[in-house]
Amino acid sequence: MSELLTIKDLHVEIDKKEILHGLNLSIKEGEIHVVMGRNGSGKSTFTNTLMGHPAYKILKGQINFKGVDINNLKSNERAKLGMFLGFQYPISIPGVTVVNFIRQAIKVLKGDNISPKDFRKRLYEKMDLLEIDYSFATRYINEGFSGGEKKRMEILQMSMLEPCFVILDEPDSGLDIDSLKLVAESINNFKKQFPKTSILLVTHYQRILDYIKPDKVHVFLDGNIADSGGPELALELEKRGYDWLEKAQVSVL
Amino acid sequence: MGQKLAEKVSEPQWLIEKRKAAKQAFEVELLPDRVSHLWKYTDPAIFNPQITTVESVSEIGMWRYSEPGVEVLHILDGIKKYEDLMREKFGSLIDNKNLKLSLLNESTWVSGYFVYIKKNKQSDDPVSLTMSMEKLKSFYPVRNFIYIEDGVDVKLVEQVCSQDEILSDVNIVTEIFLGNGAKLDFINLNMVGNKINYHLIQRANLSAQAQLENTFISLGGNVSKIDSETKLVGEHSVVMVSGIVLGNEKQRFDHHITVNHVASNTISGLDFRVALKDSANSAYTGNLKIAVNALGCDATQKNRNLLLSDNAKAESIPELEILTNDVKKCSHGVTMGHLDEEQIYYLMSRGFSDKEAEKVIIEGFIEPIILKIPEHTLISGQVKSRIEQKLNKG
Amino acid sequence: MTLDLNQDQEYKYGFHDTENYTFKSGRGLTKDVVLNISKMKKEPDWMTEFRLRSLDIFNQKPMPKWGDTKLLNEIDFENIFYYVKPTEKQGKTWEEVPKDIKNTFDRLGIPEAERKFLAGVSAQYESEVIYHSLREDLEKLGVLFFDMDTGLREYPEIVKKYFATIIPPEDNKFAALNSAVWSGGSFIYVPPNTQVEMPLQAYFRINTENMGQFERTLIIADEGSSVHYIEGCTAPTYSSDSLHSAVVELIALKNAKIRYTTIQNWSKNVFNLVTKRAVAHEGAVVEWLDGNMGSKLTMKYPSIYLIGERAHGEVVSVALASGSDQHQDAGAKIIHAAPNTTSVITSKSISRNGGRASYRGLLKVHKGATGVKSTVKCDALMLDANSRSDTYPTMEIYENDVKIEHEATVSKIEDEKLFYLMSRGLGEDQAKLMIVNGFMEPFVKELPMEYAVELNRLIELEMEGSVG
Repeated sequence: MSELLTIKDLHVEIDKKEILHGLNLSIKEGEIHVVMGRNGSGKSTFTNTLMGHPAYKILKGQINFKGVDINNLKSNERAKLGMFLGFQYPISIPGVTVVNFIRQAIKVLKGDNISPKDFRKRLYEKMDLLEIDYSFATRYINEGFSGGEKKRMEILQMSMLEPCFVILDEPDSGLDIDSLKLVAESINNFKKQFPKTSILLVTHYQRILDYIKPDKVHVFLDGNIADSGGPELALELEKRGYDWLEKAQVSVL
Repeated sequence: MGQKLAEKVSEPQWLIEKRKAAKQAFEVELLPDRVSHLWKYTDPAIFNPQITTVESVSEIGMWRYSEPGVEVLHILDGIKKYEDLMREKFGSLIDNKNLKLSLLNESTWVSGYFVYIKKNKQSDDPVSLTMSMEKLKSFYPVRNFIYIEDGVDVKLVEQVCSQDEILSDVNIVTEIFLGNGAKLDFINLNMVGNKINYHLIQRANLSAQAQLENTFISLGGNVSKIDSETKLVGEHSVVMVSGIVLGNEKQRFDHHITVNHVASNTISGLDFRVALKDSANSAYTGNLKIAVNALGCDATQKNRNLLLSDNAKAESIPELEILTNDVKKCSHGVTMGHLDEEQIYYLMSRGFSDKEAEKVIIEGFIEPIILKIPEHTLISGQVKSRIEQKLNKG
Repeated sequence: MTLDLNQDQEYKYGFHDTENYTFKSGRGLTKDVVLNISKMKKEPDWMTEFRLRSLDIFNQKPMPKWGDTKLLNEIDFENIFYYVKPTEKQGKTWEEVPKDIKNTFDRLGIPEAERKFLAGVSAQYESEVIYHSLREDLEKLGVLFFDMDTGLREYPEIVKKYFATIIPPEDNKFAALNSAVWSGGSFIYVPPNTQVEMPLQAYFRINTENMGQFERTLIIADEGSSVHYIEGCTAPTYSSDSLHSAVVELIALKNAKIRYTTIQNWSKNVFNLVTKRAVAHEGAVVEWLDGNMGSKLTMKYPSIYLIGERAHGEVVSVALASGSDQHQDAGAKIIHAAPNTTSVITSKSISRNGGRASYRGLLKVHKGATGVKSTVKCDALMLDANSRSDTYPTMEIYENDVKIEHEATVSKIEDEKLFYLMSRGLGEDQAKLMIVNGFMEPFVKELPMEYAVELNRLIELEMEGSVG
């Protein structure tokens, strides 16, 4: 299968401090990649850079998505290319209802003017899968939502917007076991429906990988990928902790 | 009459001129009008006394400061010793917001402190500026001048006190200059007796990266009016204003706190806590301004009022005037109410009487501000016993 | 359609008609002008005396020394036309309304709205109400909905009992001015236990340059009744200023409910200086929904006096100050004068393109008003660096058994919110508009559907580079 995303020698700074130091990664169509790593290892910098957050500056390197150099694209232009970021901390937007927001986003992304009735039907179907109460449709985005509700709302948006590349920044943090299972199943369902979609999943824990089977696992350390491997790498990490990797790094040096 | 006294101690000519001009202006100037909120709740005439005896406060303990880098002098001695500095800076922070009352001070002041903290300061001990009044039916015009050099870190406690029963008026004007990166922890303690009318104008000017912790502890006075303005003129300067008012009997407090963000990336925080017993009443008027060219500022303002009796009254006007959208954060909040019954219930279930529970809650309410007073000092003991006395009364 | 946030939109209602009037007073205010108005309206003596007394008060009172005094002092009272009577007869059907005036209201969409969802309509053009209707079923229930002049003529007892009792001419200079030269406005009486389910609407239109419009509205909701009144206002764009100075008095008797909705969209040469006040008796509810989109300077602080136990007052106001030639000085006043009364103030303001939005409010609790609960929340959104936002809230609390909370924030559109919306594909301007609309939502959601749509469209137009 062809390359969907290719990242070469990526250096990124925020607030004049370099966080990512020459990262390389490529993801093929349909693949599931997992990124693990400690707090502060640069995972969120990476996801925000991919989505084009204006505060993150690319100092050097290249991000190529679907054959397009997206370094200078705004986040909405990236979304139009089929990228989607499920945020680690989704922000609330007072006064903007979920239903209105998703409808407008679909209109922009797909240009189709789906009828309000059909839209609602689709939305409710997806909400059922995620066990989200319908009342959330008319609530304001993320306002007063619990941590778990916010995470499910992100997955709901993903399944409505049907992107071809999904970045999920810790979709499992703050979830109890039942919610985690729901979220993982929704991701799997989505993947089944759209096998060509690629997923980049950022997580702290091996837990979610009991449900979602990755093709590749990458470990972040100090703003770069320290090690890559198959699903077994995640298990190894779970067992031995990040220190093991850090020491391995030192010994290599 | 201030003029005669001044000549007696041979003031420099420019100062005599200044006084003369102030006196002339005072005669024609009207009292501030009561439309704007500065004087909406208190009659300025209270602070324009007809008392003719002008007195000096006793500057207790001034002799103590003979340390390197710490110059604490009688204001007149300071003027003479640092004449060049004083010709340029003395009075330069006084605006015409309270013109009549600052002119009154300017033309009549006879006592006060000159404080100059220099880079070679060594001791970290707090410097205390005590002003004490002992005479009946007198007018005490006081003038303080505080100048902190670049990068110096110092703690000052301005304490105003009096004999319990004397009936007098005090008018204090304090100017505070903070150099680049200077840090001042400043406490104004109003500990005067309950018959004194207390008027304070305080102006502070902060250079780049300067930090001012400005704390008002208002316990005394018949009618107390405090008009404080901090100008953040240097980038990245920070001011935190906090205050407590603990009023009882028929005391009236009126605090007007202005913070003026003139430079970019400046930060201000205000936390004003008012607790009122008996027929005490309080007006708090705050004004946060962010100038057009002051970008990336952060300003918060909080005013909490605890009304402890049926006859207590509180007024609050926390204003915001924001002239740029480039703000980091700008907000204010006010609460007014009586003691939380749940809290009282909780404490009583632990064995406190209702009176004791009330006291515990009030002490907790003012505690964060009281903590700013240097521990284990004479002053902290005095403040604590005054609070104790106020809480136990009635 | 592209959005351009940096340009001002053209005012849509800025057209004007040629004048073909029955009567137009000269410029300026004299005793004769006042007497002439009263005479033409064939008023009872007490009203003529009331007008003259008010004129004296107006002449004696100085201009306000607070607020935007600079703009206020630009008002040239000598240059204003105080009374303009556009037509001899009031229409009961739109066909009876003179053709050019009817055209105007057609363009404003009023007759259409009436057919769709209104229980009654009043349309004021210059100084007089030129069209008036009320659904028959309501008429049969005894609901009175007239223009104020007709109200005075046909129900003098009710008018005399309540008129100027809430806002006496002594209240302020502009209330005195209105009291002297008032004309038009609405008179509403809802009998006990009668619910007027659909809104009654009044539409105010100024056409003449330098016109002064001084309508006077009095609404009485008798015990256990309820009514919703909506007003809208527009005017042509002229190079010199007009003055709109209304007085609105609401009386909600025991357990009654009044909701009063304003969407003010005057052109940017209208001074909008309005006094609005309500009293709420025991268990009554009064709600002011106050939207300020237009005018040069608006100074308006709808107030509610909660004088009966358990009365509830609510003010939701939004203001959009757009351009350096616009100052929205709006707010709310709530006075708790009885125990267990509650109130909520929600204020939202947006300033852009050099506009200035000020919130000015008062919350007062009288001694003896125990168990009062009140929440005041003011949020200001600033869209660019040359705009301005002020918050002047006043709280006077003279009772200790109360629970009062006040919060205010001033902010710009947060980058994180923009990023979130843009990451879902929305363009920057679209995302901004969505955030602005969301910010206004607490007001918009309270409006009847048709008005909500209209208001959202107005905001969109205001945020856009050009019309269409």
